[in-house]
Amino acid sequence: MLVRRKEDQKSTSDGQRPLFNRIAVLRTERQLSRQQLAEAVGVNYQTIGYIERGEYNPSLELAFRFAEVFALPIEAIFSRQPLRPLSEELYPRPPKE
Amino acid sequence: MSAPQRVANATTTKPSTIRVCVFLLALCWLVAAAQLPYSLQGTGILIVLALVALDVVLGVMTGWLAFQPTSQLDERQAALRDRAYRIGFRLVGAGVLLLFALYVIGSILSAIVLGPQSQSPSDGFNPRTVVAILELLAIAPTVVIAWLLRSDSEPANGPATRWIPLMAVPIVALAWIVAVLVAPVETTVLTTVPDNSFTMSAAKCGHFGVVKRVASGFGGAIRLEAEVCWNGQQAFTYGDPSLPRPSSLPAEEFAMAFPGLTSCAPLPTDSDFGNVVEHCTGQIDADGTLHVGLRGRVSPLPGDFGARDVQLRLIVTRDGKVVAFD
Amino acid sequence: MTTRSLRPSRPLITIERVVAALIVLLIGFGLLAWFEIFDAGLIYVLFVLVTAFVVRSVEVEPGAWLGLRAVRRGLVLVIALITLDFLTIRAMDFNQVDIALLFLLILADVALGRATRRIASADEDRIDERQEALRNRAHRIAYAILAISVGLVLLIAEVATPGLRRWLAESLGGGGVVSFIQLLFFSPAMVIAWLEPDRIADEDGSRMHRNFRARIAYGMVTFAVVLPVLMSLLLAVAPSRVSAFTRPEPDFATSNGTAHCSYFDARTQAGIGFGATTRIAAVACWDGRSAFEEWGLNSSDCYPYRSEFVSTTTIECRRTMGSDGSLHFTYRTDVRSAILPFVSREVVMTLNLTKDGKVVQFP
Repeated sequence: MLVRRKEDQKSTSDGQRPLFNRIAVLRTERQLSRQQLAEAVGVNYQTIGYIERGEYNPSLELAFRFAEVFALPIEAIFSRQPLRPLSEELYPRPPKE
Repeated sequence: MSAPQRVANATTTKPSTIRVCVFLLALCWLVAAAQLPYSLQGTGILIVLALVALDVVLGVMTGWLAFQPTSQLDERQAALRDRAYRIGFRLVGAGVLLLFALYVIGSILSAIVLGPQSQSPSDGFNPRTVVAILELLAIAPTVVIAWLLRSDSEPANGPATRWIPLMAVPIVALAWIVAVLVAPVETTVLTTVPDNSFTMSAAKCGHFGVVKRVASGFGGAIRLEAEVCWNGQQAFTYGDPSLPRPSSLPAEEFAMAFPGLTSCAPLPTDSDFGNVVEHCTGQIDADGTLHVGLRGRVSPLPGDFGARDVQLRLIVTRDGKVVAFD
Repeated sequence: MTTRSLRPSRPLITIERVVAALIVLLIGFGLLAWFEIFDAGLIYVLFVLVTAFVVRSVEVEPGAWLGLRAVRRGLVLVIALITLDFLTIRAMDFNQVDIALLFLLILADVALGRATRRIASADEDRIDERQEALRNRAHRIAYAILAISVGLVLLIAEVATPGLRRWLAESLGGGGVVSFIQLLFFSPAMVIAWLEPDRIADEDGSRMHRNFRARIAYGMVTFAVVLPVLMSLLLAVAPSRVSAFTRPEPDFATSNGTAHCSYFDARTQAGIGFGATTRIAAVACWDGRSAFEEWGLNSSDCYPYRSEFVSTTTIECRRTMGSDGSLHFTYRTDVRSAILPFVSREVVMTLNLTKDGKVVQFP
């Protein structure tokens, strides 16, 4: 899952506004299973799934651990606004004339 | 006050007000939970009011965090609140175990100091125990939050209106007074005929127990335990020398002591929330019918204000027929 | 804050040592129960406690079935219904159905622990931040349930009629204790089981719940469940074991003039571990004209010598005198399993003594 449409937004299990993330994409790129990523960041693999689905917002420390594992800045992984696909980030479409 | 000064104040060894309140609350709770002293001599309501006042103080000092919905809290407060409930859950478990242990210890000490207590009708929970359990359930998370806070959470110059909940203290007091004045008296009766635990030669016996509670025990209680025997000639009580003995039986029949078998006195816990005075009279008619009368006065307030008179009677014929027991 | 490890701390007692001790225990259990040296029920309770300890030490995933929220919610409802039912049981009213319900409740709680990975009772070093937040939130909800339940019950009891108050006191001395313990120790886990979404499948397909330790735990749980049933069935199929001896009783003979007396002792054991032992212990005499009972052959002497997890009913306890002066005594008992009431066995013990002291039949 790359982005979450507004109509798909729902609150987390404790009523917080969900964060958007690219964890599923990054996991696929690095060929990591949820279990492997969970062991790398030190959480249960179910938590990885809940974060990917937007049902749980990680703490600041956990977000930094994700950043260390993926070697990316936090804002490249998490966002409060819907994230654009990475391909568009890297190769933005030229404006239509 | 500057930030460093505030930090310095928070880290001094002087105990904070909030923790002092927690200690006071624990002390009052122990008085309610423990079986000692055996009787609060009518001051039980003061313990309840003290608990209510301390509950309000701790609630105000913690901003009533334990009762706030999640939508009103930030993530730190919500995490603190939930953590307090988890610890509070364990506190409740420990409190229940402590209640049980205190009950066992108190019962043992009571039996040693006061002697064997009479068999009483099952009249439910001791009001002191009810207060202790309800207090534990109501305030445990707030106590945890108060303890975890290193300094008073509310600034000294906060709005005075936040202390309005202290009005609960006079409201509870007023409700209690109204209850003890107007609440109907509850009567619990236990009759065991024949009484297999006590026998007399040439007489049959039965045990009669009654307790009358004012405001579910929160206003005091009177009780009567009577071992009544009959032999076709007379009905009589056994175990209380102040009540008349039958002329049809020799004095040696009454030589053995059975403390508590017949008792016209309240239990120590009956006087927790009101002073109780009882007086029994007994008479054996010419036809052998036993008349036992009990007059009791329950005074929840000093000076007999709001006192209530409670009476009961027990009439048993010489053949063991119970004519009246109310 | 340092990264917390999810690996559980290694328990002091390892699974290998527990299994080894268990094997010794089981062998000893069989021998001791056979020779009636030790209380089979106590041994079984010890085994159940060890099983519970082993199960707790195993880290397992809920599995496909218990991972579904609908299944977990159904489990919570079953537990809640059983808990409510126990609230109505007084101490003196516990019967076999209630014991079976208690057994079912324990199994349901074990399943509940597995379904929730025992997050509710986990310390911070065993769970991650999400699980910790879930745990604490569950405790908040469970606390509200506990406070409202207990508080309401107490308040109602205080203002209710004396009859209702008495019922409450009796209930709390009986099944109410089970209900309260369930509420106090398991309600957070029930809340977690109710709230957590469906389990997310692991893409590796790693079968975390198939490790050796988990298999041992499953085996022990299965054994704990099956053992009472097996023992109950053995009551019907295992042969009875009889031991008997007689010896002269000269003291009684002297007091009876020219009569001779003997002491008769016999025991019949039905079932292995879960069963009953009936006994005849008596002195009978004979003087050439008739045989008669000195003591031990009355109707009051017919009672079960030992019984465990069975109920015994005396069908016949009769002493008669034959026309030829012989003494006949018959003790017939029905031994019925408490766990499987349809499994029973009849035990018959007989003493036939002629007027000349010849033992025709014993036991």
